[in-house]
Amino acid sequence: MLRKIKRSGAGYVLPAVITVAVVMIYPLLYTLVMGFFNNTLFLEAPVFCGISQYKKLFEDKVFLGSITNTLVWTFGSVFFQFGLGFIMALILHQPFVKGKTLIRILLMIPWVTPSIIGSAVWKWMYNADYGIINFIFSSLGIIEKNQTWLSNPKIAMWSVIAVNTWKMFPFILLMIEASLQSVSKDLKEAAVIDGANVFGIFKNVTWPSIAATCYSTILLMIIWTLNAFTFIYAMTEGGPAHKTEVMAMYIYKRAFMDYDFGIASAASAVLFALSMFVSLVYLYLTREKEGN
Amino acid sequence: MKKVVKRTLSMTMAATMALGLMVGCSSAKGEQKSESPAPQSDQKTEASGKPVTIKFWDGNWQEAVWPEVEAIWNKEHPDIKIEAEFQADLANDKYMLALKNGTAPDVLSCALDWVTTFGNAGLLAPLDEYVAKDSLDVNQFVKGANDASTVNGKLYGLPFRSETYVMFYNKDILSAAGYQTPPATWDEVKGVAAACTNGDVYGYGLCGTNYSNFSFQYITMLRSSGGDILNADNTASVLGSDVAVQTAQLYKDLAAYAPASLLENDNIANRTLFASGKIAMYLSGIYDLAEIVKANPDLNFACTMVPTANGAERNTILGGWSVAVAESSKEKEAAWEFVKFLSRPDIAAIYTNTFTGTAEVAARYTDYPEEIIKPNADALQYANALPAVENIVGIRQAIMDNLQLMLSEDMSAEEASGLLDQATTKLLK
Repeated sequence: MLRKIKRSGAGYVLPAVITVAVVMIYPLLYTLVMGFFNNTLFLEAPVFCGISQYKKLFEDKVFLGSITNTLVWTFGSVFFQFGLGFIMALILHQPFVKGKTLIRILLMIPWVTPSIIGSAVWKWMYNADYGIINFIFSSLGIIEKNQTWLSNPKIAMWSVIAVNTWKMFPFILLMIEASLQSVSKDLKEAAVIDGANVFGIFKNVTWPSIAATCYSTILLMIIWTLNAFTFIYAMTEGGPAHKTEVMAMYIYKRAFMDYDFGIASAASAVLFALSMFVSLVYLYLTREKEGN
Repeated sequence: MKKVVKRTLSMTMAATMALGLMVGCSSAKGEQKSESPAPQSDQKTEASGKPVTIKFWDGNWQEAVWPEVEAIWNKEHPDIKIEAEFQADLANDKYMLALKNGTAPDVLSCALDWVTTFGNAGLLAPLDEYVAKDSLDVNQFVKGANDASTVNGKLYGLPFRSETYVMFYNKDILSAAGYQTPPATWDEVKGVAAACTNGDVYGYGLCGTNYSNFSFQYITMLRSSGGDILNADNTASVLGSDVAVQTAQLYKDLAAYAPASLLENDNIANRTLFASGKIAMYLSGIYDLAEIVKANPDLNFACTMVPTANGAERNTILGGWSVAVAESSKEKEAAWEFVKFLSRPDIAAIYTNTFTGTAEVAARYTDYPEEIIKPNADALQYANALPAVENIVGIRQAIMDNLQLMLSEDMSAEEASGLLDQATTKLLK
C-alpha cells in the first residue's frame, strides 16, 4: 500500500492537500451550508430555513443588479487589461525598442502600488470639481464641462474599470512577454522565407506558441476580478445608487452592515456558482480551440 | 544511487511539510485556546496582588492625547496596565469580528450606535452591577448617551464624548452675498445658498457618500423639521411621512447649490472644501474645528444652531462615543475601573475632541472664540440619541442607498422616501 502511495506520488502532496482542505474547502462548504440557515448577529444560533434566503436574494433588485454589475466589471476589466497588456508586450518584444529593462520597471509601478493607495490617488484625480483629469481634458478641449467620473451612474463603473486596467495590465504584460520569448526564431525565419507577412507570421507562428499562456492568463484574471472589489469599495462604495455594487460588495454590506450572515452566505454561494460556470464555459471554449 | 538520493530527499521534504503542518495546527490550537475568550494570555489575577494588563482599542484620532491620560491612569492605578491600540481602520465591522471570535480587547471605545448594536447582540458586558456597587451617578451623563447605551433595561457603556451638529458658515462668503447673519430656517438656507453659489464657490456642502455621514445629515434635517425615522416606540418606520418626503426634497433642492462632486463627498471632503473657502455652509460637529483652523487659520467662520422648519422644536442627533467592556473579557473588574476613569469628567475633558459625556467642553478648546464654542455647547441640550434598535446601522445604510438613488437618477422625493420606508420596515422585521 505504501509502495503504491509512494509510486503514485500521492504521499508527497498529502500535506498540501490537507492544508488546502482545511483552509479552503472547509470554509467553502461551511459557507454553502450557511446559505440555508437564517443566521444574524442577533440570533443565538442559526435556524434552518431551506431555500428561502435564495428566494429572497433573487427577489432583491439590488442583488440582481449586482450580478449584472459583476459581469460588466469582470469582462470589461479583463478585456481592457488583456488588450492593453498584450499590445504593450508585443511592442516591448520588438528588437527596435531600447531600454527595455527600464520600461518594464516603469510599467510595473501600477502593479506594485498597493490598491488602496492607488484608489485614494485616482479618487482625487477623478474629483468632479478639482480633479486633474477634468483639468487636462478641459484644457485639451476633449470635454466642455467637468465630468462626474465617479458619481455619474452611466460612467462610474467604466471609471473604476479604467483604474482596474491600470493596476493589472502589467501582470498580463509580464506573462505574455515571457511567453513571447519562447517563440522559435527559426520558425519565424522559415515563415519569412516562405513569404509570410507580419500578420501571417503572427497567426501561424507566434499565436500558436503563446495561445496556452494567453488562455490561462485570461482565466486567472476572470477569477480574480470576479471576487475583487477593493477599488469599488475605496472609490465608490458601490454607488452611486448601487450602480457599481458588484456581488462581492453586496455580500460585504449584508454581512457587515445588516449583520445578516445567512443572506451573505447565500449570496456567496451564488457568486461561487457563477465563478464555476464562467470558468467551465471558458475552459470548454478554449479547449475546443486548442483541439482544432 | 541518484534515484535513492532523490527519493530520500523527497521523503524528507514531505515529512518536514507534514511535521510543519502538525506543529502549525497545534500552535494555532494553542493560541486559540489562550486567545479566546480574551487576548490577554500574559495577565495574572489581581487577587494575587500582581499587575493586571488589559487591552483597549480606540481610533487613531485619539492617539495624540493618550500619553497625558495614560500618565494620570498609571499614577492612580499602578496595579492595572493598559495596552492601548489606536487604529486607523476602526469600524463596526472590525469590532463585530473581534467580539464574535473572542479576540476583542477588554475595553472598547464605541460610537453610540455601535453600543446599541453590540449590546443587543450580547457581545458587551452589562455594567449595571458595577454601577450599583460603586454607586456611580449615571444621571451626570447626557441623557441621550445613556439612552443609546441602554438595551432592554441594561446599561452597556459610559460616554466620554458627546456632540451634535451645528452649522458652520463662512462669514465672508455670506457677507459678500449680502447676508450678515446666518439662516435660521431651512427655507432661508436655500435662499442664502443660492445667493452664495458663484463660480467655483458653492452655497452648501451636502454629503453624498459614506453612510454614516449621509444619514446623520439627513436625519438631522428631518428631526429639525419635526420628523423622525421611527415612531415613538421604535416599532415602525415613519420615513414615508410627509415631513420625511419634504426633507428628502430639501436634500434634493440643496444639491443644486452643492459642488458637482456631491455624490463623492463625505464629511471630510466637505470640511476640506469649507476650509478652502469653496463652500459657504455645511453641517458638522465641533470635532472639525481643529482641522479647519489647521488647514486655514485665516478662515473667517462661525457656528450657529441647526436651522429648523415647519416651526418645529429644534431636535438633532446626539453623537458621541462610549467606553464598553467586551463580554469575552477575562478582567471585567479591571476593565470597569478603566471605563469609570475614562468617562470621568476631568479625564474625558482631556481625552475628548468634542464635549465630555457630561457635556463639558474639551480642554483643547478653551482658547477658541465663544461664537464658535457656544453654539456647539448650547446645541447639546437639543440632541437626542438615535433609536436603540438592533438594525440601526442597516437603517442608516438604507437612508444613503435610497437617497443616493434620488440624487443620481433624478427620482422624485416621494418615490425615494417610499422605497426607504419599505427598506426600513423590512429591517425592523
